[in-house]
Amino acid sequence: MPWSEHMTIDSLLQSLENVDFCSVIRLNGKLVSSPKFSETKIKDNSKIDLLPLVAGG
Amino acid sequence: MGNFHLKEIKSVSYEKAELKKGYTDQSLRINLNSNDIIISPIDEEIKRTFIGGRGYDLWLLWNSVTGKTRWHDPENAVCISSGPLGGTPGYPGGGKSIVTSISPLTGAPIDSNVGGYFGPYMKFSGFDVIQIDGKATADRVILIDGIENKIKIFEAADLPKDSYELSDQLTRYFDPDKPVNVSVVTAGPGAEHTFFGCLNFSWWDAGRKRVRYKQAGRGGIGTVFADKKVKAVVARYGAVSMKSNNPADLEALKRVTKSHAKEIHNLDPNQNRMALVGTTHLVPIMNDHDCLPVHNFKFGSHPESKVIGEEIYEHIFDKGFDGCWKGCAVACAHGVKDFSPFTGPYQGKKVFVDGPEYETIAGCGSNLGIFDAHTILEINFYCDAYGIDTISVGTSLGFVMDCFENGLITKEDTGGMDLSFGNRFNALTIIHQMSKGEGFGAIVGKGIRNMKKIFAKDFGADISFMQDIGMESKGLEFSEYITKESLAQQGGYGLALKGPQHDEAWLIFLDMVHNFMPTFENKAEALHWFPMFRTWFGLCGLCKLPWNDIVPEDNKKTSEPAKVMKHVGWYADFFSSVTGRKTAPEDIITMSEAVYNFQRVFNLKMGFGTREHDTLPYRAVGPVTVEEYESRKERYDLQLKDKYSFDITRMDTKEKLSELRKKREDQYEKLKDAVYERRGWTNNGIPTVNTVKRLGIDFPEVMEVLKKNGVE
Repeated sequence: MPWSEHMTIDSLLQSLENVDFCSVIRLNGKLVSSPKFSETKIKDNSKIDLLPLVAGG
Repeated sequence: MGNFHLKEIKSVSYEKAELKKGYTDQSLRINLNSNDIIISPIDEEIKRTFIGGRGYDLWLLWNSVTGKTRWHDPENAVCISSGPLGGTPGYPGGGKSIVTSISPLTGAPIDSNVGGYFGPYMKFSGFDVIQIDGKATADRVILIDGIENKIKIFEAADLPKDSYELSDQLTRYFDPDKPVNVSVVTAGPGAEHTFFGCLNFSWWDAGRKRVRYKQAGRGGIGTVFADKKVKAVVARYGAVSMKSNNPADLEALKRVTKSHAKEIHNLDPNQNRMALVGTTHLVPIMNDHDCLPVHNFKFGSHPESKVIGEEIYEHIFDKGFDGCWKGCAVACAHGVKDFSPFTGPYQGKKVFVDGPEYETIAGCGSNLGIFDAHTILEINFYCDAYGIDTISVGTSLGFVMDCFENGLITKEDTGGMDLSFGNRFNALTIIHQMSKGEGFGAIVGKGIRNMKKIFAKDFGADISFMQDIGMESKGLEFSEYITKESLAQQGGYGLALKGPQHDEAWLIFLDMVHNFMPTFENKAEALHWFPMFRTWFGLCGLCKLPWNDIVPEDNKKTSEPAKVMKHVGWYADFFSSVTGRKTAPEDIITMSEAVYNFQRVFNLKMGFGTREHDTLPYRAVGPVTVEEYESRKERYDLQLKDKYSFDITRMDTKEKLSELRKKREDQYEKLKDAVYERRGWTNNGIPTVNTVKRLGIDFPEVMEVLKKNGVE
């Protein structure tokens, strides 16, 4: 995925398909939840994993 | 080795039943009144209807008790069963035991699903299920020895009091050369003095060369066990392989086992990382979504929660394989070695702590205002050693602290202790008191429902306020999720058979975050399918985590990602391969429905199981206090304006609270209507005659209970 300067988690997800159930991701190993997607900026060469739908305990 | 004494008072040799397609088709009953050891066949109709595990437990329990039986009556039984699939090495989560009894907290059947090797070892020793009833006059240890083919009852003296020592010493005693052959079920001193005693199920951790533990925590089954004066039940068995269950199709079993294990092995490192952090990843996720209980479920997040989540525990957990069943790829049962408690009988000693999991961190940490990873570990350790349920402990202490901060109880009532939120030393003092049945801890150990009565009667506390903030339903303390913004999860808790435990349905994110079920009908459908599917794990001897905590990479492209249908298909294949009973995914729901509805009728038999018992404390539904409302004012104001069309410009917070409450309580009642209808129940929450007939549970005694309750 090409990086752009003001890329956030939110903007990244908007460019992807089948992410309706994504509420948590790992950004370089650290958990980020959906309330913080729009404020979390992505640095170049970041590794992002989309976590599965949160399933509870 | 300790200086305890075991005097054999009964010994029976038996011919081991051959395992056929996951079943021994035999039950074992131990009657403690007479020391009778009774082995009975299980007939085909019972097998077809109840499947195994929780189903078998419930059937035996139903036949042991009457509608008037109370938890401490001799006829109440503790039943333990794995299930036809239980004991499959290498299948993720494939070795669970399910325990049931009449609960001291609820008065109704309770079930608890637990790891450790006991259930599979008992089955391979020749018994699908054990029923322990009666009451002994002195301490007893029961041995099921599948190597020697003997069942023994011992009179016990001078055993270690706590579960931590007791399981360790009995493991080494019964097979000093091969401790891996032994699994021990124990209660502890806390179980003797509280209503929420748990059972510790052990397994031998070959890598660390020590006994490890998982807990059958909910509902006080350990209390029943201790009341019967059973100190331990021990199962001893030798090597286990995929052939041990004598599956109908070994090659098909190997294929599905390999597929599921491989997927978890490959995907978990990039998903929830449960093999590294267990369920501690949920702490920051719940906090960020305002679902982490803080200060007795008053709030859903706290800035300090970052010091009690996965980032901390990942570094504290001891590295190594942590499967509570042989070869489980999820391997989430982490622990901490060389932990040194700063209070209590183990003060200054080095111990191994099995845990903590999310529920313990949330209940005994954030919910109490304790944001300290080490104190949570210490609470975890002592709850396990004393044999008390960390969920009920955390939720009960949260209630006590809330009462203290609101002036409903004072230092005069607590034995001089300041029980404000965050007071970790006094929280630990209460736990130590619970283990001895002393001081204010003896009252806390009776659980929230009883505490409300005691606080009102003895301390003059406001009963209606306590009803709102006491986080119990049906008498069981809530597990650790904030449900205020998820009506579906309010149903997940309030409509759960045994009380508010999340193992029936966990719908918060589907509902609250993704708005996947906007209508009552959508919610009712979810509150049908998910509880039914999740029930099946308990019938078969399985763990639910491998189903939906690690999911296929293409799962998000499927039509119903929440159901993870690829895995559901694998489970159907798993069941077919072991039992030879050709099973499709939809059959799983029908199997569970029979047992689920039987348990609902069982509740009815015990005097519960109707609409009035499916109620919730208002704190589970919405903000109780002005402080709570104001803390999320923007959210609640918006709902009043947009969702309910109120003009709030002249309303003060108290008026807004009142109007919001009316609306939310009304929504919950409408949800009940929709769910009852979907489940085939009357408007009073009772299965109809058509429903029990459709499911094949229209036994004469079931029909009699329905008739007594006006359903014909």
